[in-house]
Amino acid sequence: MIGVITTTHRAVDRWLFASLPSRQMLVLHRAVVGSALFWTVVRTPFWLDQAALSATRAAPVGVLSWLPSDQIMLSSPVVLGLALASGLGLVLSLLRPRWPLALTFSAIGFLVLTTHGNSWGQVLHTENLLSLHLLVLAASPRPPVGDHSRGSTTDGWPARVLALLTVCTYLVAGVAKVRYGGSDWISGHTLQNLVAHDNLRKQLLGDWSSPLAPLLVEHRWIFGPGAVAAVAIELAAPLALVGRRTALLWSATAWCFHLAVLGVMAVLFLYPLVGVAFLPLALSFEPTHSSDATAAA
Amino acid sequence: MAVAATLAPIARSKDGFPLSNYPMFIVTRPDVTTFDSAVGLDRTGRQVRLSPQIVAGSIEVIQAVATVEAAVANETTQQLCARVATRVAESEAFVEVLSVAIVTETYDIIPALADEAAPIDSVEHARCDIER
Repeated sequence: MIGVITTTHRAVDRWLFASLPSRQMLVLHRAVVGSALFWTVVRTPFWLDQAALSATRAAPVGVLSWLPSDQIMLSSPVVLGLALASGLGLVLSLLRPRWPLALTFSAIGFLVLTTHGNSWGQVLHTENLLSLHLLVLAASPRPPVGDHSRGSTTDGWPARVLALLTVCTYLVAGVAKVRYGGSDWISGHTLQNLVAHDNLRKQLLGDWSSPLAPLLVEHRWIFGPGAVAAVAIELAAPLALVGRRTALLWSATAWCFHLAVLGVMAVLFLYPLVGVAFLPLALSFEPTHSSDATAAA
Repeated sequence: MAVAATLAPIARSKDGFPLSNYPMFIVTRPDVTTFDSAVGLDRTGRQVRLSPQIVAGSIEVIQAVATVEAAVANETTQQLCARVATRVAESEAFVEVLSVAIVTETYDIIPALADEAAPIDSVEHARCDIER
């Protein structure tokens, strides 16, 4: 037993700390930072709307949860200033990936903005993974760029930690469904009513709803398999760490899951749907060409 | 440490950010549910559904829901009605809307979505006219 644990620990250690081609890390850096920049631009109007809400509506979460409700409010000029500063930092990090402070400041700013946006009675869950990925990247060594990146390798652990975070978030969601959803979830009843409730609420509040939902919602036989599939995909997330093929297969399946959520519930999880959420998994098993060449020599 | 923190919400039932147990898809919704909303009314009394931006000043529908629910719970529906009416008057959309009402409607949610079934019950909390 101890031997198995030791062997497993060494294998995990080898995988986690094996180097990666510098260009792969640079691609990952730019994909995550670019996603955060895009999200900052499109969400700033919403964050400004939140800043205009009454303090009585505040329900602090995360890093703001230790503050009293009436003290978490950021004024609109502060939110705008923070969004502009974080956005500028993200742009600088894209153009000059090796500048350390730009990404660090932006990751903290992004965390404050997204936390503030989620501190008004409802956590939206669409930016959790991006926030976590950005924080880990900010704490990681910066990837080599330009001439220094060609043919070179660099620390691979940031990509693998990002991959682990992706896997863990889906695993936690799957465990929650099994733990709290029970037989109602597995039967499809919970999912069926959730689809009906969510889309009807959107219609009543004049928002965009799924055009497919009215056609599907009366047929419970669809939602049972759908609910089981959702749980299976989430609980199977750790299999993505076995190897590159399973990583790509699981990522494609999870992507389809998000496409289905968009189609049936009109809920957009943009970070997974553009593929960046799964990119660390695809890159974590890349061979280190320079080390292979050295070994061959 | 980052991985352990991400897994930690498994041990607790409270949601958070960015560390969460992602409970949004396991909330049980009953077959018959009430919804609080702000609706516009045209000259014939027909309901016109207003956008979240008009209702709550936010693009997120969840915030619009929370705004109306808070007004109903706190009995401040007349004040909310007035704010919504002001936004309607200032907006270039919804020109057909002549008044605003804050309502609580009860629906059998599956027929309501599938067949556009009318609400089982409707309670009006406040009404106010648009001043243009």
